[in-house]
Amino acid sequence: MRYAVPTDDGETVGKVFGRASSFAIFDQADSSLVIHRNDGINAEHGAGTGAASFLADKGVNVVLAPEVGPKAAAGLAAAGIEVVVAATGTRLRAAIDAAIAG
Amino acid sequence: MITVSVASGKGGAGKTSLSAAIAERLGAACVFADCDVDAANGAIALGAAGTKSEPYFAGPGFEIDPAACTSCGACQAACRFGAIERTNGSFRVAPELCERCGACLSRCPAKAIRSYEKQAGELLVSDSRLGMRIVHAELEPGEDTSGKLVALVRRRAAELAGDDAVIVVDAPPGIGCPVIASITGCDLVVVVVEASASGVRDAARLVELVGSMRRRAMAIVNKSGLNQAMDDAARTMLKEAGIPVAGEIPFDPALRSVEESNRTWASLDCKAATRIRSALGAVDGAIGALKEKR
Amino acid sequence: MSDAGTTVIAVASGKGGTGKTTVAAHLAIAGARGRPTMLVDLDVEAPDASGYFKGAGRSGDASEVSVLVPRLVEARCTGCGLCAKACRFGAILAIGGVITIDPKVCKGCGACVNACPAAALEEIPMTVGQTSSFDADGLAILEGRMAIGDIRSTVVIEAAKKRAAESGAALQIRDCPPGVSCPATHAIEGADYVVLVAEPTEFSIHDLGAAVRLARGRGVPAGVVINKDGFGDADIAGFCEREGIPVIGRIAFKRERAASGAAAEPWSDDAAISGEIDAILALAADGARTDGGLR
Repeated sequence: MRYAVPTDDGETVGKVFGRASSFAIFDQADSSLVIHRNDGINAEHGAGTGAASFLADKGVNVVLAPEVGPKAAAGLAAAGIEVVVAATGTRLRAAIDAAIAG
Repeated sequence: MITVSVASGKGGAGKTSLSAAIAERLGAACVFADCDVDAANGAIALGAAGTKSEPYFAGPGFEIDPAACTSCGACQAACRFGAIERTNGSFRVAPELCERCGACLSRCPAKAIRSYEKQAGELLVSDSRLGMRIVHAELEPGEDTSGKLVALVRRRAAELAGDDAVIVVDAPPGIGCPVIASITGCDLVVVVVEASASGVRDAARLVELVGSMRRRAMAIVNKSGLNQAMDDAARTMLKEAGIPVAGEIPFDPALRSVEESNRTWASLDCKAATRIRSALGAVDGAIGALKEKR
Repeated sequence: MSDAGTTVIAVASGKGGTGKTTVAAHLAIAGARGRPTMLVDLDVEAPDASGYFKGAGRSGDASEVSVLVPRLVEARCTGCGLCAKACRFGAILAIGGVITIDPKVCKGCGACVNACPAAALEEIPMTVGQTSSFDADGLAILEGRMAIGDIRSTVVIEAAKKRAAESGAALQIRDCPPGVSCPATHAIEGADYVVLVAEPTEFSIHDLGAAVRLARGRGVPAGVVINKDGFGDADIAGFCEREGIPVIGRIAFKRERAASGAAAEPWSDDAAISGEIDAILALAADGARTDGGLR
C-alpha cells in the first residue's frame, strides 16, 4: 500500500491538501518515504483535482490529511483513493504508522 | 501561527468591517490577508499605505494577430463565451470576457492566435496605520478572484507573520474555489450572517461547506433588529447547524460613518458599540483558547 | 448594442449590498407603467429580484440552461491524456491511461475535444441552471438561476440575456451580479446604459472606480445613483465629478427603506421615491439613446 501525506515542512502533516507545498509518499513494500514537490500549488482552479491526479499517477492508495476540499474529495474518490483524517502537526511516520495499524 | 477566516456567503453582510475590527484588536501581532479581491475594502478600512506591488499572473491570455488573421471567423464560432468580436478587417479577443480556455487557438487555421502572459492584476503588501501588515490584491476588470490568488495572498501573509502572529483572512463572497482556498487549513471560521432573506440563505450554504471541511466555526449575526422574522431565521439556522453565536450586531446607520473617519468597528462610540465589543471579545476569547493549545 | 426598438439598462454596482436589486426592481416597476418592460435578473448565483413581486405568477415553462461537457467514447480512447493537459480548469484526470471527467467543474469550452487526436470525446449537455419567466401585474420578469453549488454563471447569464432579447420587450432592466469580475462583465455587456448604484462610503467609492473602468473599457455609457444618501459621509458626488461621471439620482436613506429592503418588500407607498425613480429612469433612457453619460 502507498500512503500520501501533505506536508509543508517535510516533517509533519501540513494544514491543507490541494495547495500543500509537498506530498510525502510512503511505500509499505520497501518502507521508503519520498517527498515530492507539489507543482499544483500554482493551479488557478482545481488544485485539489490536480493533486488527486498527481497522487493517483504515483500509485497512492490512501491519503492522510486534516481535511480535503470538495473538489479534492471528488477527485480522490474518482481515483479510488481512500482518505483518512490525520491531525496537522503530527510527525509523518507517526501518522503513517497509526494509519497502517488501523 | 493561527489563521482566522471571516466569511459570509453573501456580499455586503459586514464581513470586511468585522474582519478589520478583529484585526484592529489584534494590532501589530496580526497580518491581514484581504482575499476579497473584487472589493478589496479591508485595506481601505485599515488605512493601507507604503504599498509595494508585484504583478500577478493567473494564466495565459489569448490574442489575435490582425496581420495573420484571414477573417474566417472560426475563432468566434469556437468561442463559447462570446469573447471574440469583429473589428475592421479582423477579429479581436475581448480580454474582459475571455475565459482563457484556448479553444480559439486550437481552431484557428491560420495560426493567427497566440497565448501571452496576461497580467491579471497585482499582489500588494502595505502597512496599516494600526500597525499590522496588509496583504491584498487588485484585479484587472473581467478577471476573477481564483483559488490561486487567494492561496498566494495567504502564502505571502504567512511569510510575513511570525510564529506568534494571527492571520486574519477576509474571505470573498460565495462558496466557490476562492472561498474554499480562504478556509482551507484555517483554525477558526467566523461566519457573518446578515439577518435578511438572502443573507441567511447564503450563510447556510457557507456553513455546509465549513462542515464538510471540518473547520471550527463561530457566528456573528449582523444587521439584526430590522425584521424579527429574519432575525429568528438566522438564529434557527445557526442553532440547527450547531454553530455557537459570538454575538448579534443591530443595524445602525452610524456604523457606516465610522469607517469614513478612518476607524474600524473596534473603536466605536454608538448604540451598536457595546454589542460589537462583546462579539469581538468572544472572538478574541476563541483565538486565545486556540493559542493556548499550541 | 441591443436591437433597434429595445433599450437595455443594466443596474450594477462594484460592491455588493448597495441596493442594486432594489433599484433595479423599482426602475422596472416604473418602466412598466409606460411600455412593455422586462426585469432581467442576471445575478444568477443568488437571484432575488423576483422576491420583490410576491404575487407574481409563473408564465410559461422554465428553460434549462446547459453546457456541453465531454463524455469519453471508451472504444476510441488511447489513454494519451492530451485532453487532461488541454483542460485549464482541472476537469479531466488522466491516471495511468484512464480518463476521468468531472462534469461539475467543466466550463464547456470544448478545448479537450479539440485536443483529442482520436475523436474519443463526444459532448453531451449538462444542466447548470435555468431561466424562468414570471408575470407581475403586467411587468415581465425573466430570472436566470444557476444550480446550487455550480460555478458556471457566465453560461446562465448569456442564456438569460438571449431569452430576454427574444421577448421583444421595449425596455429591459438588468439586475447584474455585484463586482466587476467575469459574471458582472457578461451581464453588463451589450447594455445601452449602466446605472451604477453606490452608497456614500469609502468602500463603495473604491469599488465604483473599478466599475467605471469596466464600463469605459466596454464602451457602455454610465451614470451613478447615490443610494442610502445621508447614511455615510463619503463624497461620492465629488468622486463622480472628478471622474466625469454624471450623478443621475439620489435616494435618501431612511430606516423604513432599509427594513423593507431586508424583507424584499417594494417601497410602493413611498411617493418621494417614485418621483426619484422616474427621474432616474428618464435620465438612463436618455443616456442610452444619446450614448451620453460616461464615455
